[in-house]
Amino acid sequence: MEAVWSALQDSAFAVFVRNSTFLYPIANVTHVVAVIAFFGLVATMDLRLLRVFTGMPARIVVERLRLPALVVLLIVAAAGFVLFSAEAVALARNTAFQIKLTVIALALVNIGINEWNLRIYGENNPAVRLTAGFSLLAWLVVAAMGRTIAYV
Amino acid sequence: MRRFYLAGVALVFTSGLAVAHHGWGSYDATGPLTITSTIELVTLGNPHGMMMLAHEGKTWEVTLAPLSRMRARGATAELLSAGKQIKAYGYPKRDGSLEMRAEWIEVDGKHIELR
Repeated sequence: MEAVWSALQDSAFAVFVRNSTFLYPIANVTHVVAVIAFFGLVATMDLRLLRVFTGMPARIVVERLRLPALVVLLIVAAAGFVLFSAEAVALARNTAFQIKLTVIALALVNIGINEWNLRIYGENNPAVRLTAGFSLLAWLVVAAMGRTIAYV
Repeated sequence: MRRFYLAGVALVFTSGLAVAHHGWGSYDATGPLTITSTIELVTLGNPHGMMMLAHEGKTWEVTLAPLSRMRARGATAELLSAGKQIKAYGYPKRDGSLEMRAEWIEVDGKHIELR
């Protein structure tokens, strides 16, 4: 696997990222701002599913926000890939980065479980609320681990 | 106190710009080091530049600022190149490895702050 990260880091693209005075900072700012937007969308869905606020049916809230959230997540991931490419080998070895990616994987599976339960059993279902709660926690852990990368 | 505050602010901003493997906090500011040597190797890039300097029989890795800041302060590849005499002031890594983060450098009579 290390060979893959090494090849990525030595690619013309990664060299360009390292030598660019605009792309790296832009990717950095985009990554963080998009994370904030993403979490706003996630929290709105999860808090509604957890019935912290009521009003519009939770199913409708999720229908409206799920896709925008996934689009923003793709922006986060694209910007993250730019940052990752610049020092792929060191980041792949970084414990905080490894935890972060593991929790992202869990959070993505969790979205699937949440959506599945929501469709089959509707919004008043313990599994839906459990996965909504896990989602809030998991994405915060992801953000925390992302910030920790620079300090381990 | 103000210095401490500025260090905190700098830490937040520099580490934000540079998703490096370290903020300023992992360097020991109470034991600054000045190395006057010849640049063995230097790379300017993101998330931050670095150079290798011989010091007391050992080779130190000197961590520099992100590329955009290096450019903004005039630390270009022409100014910082292998073989040049340089003076670098910074803080060694707390874990004892041969790495220091440069607070400032002096080359060709130019003084460049990197924080």
